[in-house]
Amino acid sequence: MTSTRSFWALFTVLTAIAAHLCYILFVPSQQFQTKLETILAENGVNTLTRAIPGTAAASIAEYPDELTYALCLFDLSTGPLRINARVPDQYWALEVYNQRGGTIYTLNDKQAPRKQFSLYLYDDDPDPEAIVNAANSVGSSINSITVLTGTKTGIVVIRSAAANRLESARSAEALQHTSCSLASN
Amino acid sequence: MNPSVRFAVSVLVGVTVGIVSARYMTTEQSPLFTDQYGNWKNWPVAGNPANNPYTQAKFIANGRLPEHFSEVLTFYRDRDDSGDKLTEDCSYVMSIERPTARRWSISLTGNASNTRQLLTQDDVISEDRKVVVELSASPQPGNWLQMSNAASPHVVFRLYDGDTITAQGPSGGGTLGLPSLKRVSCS
Repeated sequence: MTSTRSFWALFTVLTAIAAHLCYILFVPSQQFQTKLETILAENGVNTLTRAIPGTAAASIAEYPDELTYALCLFDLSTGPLRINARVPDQYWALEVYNQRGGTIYTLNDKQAPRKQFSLYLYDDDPDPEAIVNAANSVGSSINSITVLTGTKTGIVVIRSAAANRLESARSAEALQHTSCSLASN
Repeated sequence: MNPSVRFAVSVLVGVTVGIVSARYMTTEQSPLFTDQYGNWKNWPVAGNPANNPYTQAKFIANGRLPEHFSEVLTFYRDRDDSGDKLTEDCSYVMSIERPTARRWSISLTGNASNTRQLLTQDDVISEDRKVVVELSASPQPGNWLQMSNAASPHVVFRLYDGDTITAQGPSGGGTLGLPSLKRVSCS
């Protein structure tokens, strides 16, 4: 009798552990994937999208009254991605994430090489000649950064201060001069 | 009890406990993966590529991408300095020495309308380095955050600036000078 009870108690505990781990490992990432698919359907891939309230992209913004958000879902399967970025004279940050929301790379306005620069995303070690060619291609900025993502797909998020009208205007102006596209385009 | 009934009950109880505990572990109330500074809490590995699955789940389950911990530190609290839950029936005073971070904000969330009351370093009025903010349902002179129909008020304190965070943050061994929050009166 006691051994039967112990068996069912142990079975219940193991079921709880399995359900706990399955939930943590799969449910949030699946929810996030669904959200990314909605954003993708609304905005497409390898293009910069401003997170305007009411859009799917805006739902990633945790502090929309404090920061302006723009994002670019990328797919590097057909080549490297180029982000031409303009950095405003205020808090600004660019962050590259993988599909599970893990940070791959981060850069803020203090660390940016210049007010205007190009950032290239490669999924794997590129041919050095390809880096030189990309940096010299039409549309590239004179200052460029190369990032190896280790993944073909992910998200680039640009956040910029927007707690008042002046900051919002600076952010909007900078975003007008920011783009995200395949380097071959 | 019939073995098949036992099996069904065990699975039901196990799955329920597993899911409820997993959901709890990814809330701000979870004590295991948050750093505690008095009554302030922080998810220390937010944005870190080496973070644990609970931190990752906490953010992406809500569809949020966590800011890297070297860019922004975010602290939460839902209790005053005495450890009592914040309630809209009471008014509070928050005070802090003006942070050295080039950018910071204090906000109040949890209002029924889901609106967020926000004060940034540019909004606050202070004669010297000390910043005082009042939290109450009725308007107050000076720096004020409105607790309007707040079912579960939370105060959020955010510090921007990698250099300051590196120099003064928890891993830097210094003090970030987090604000105190004292209850003044209750209706």
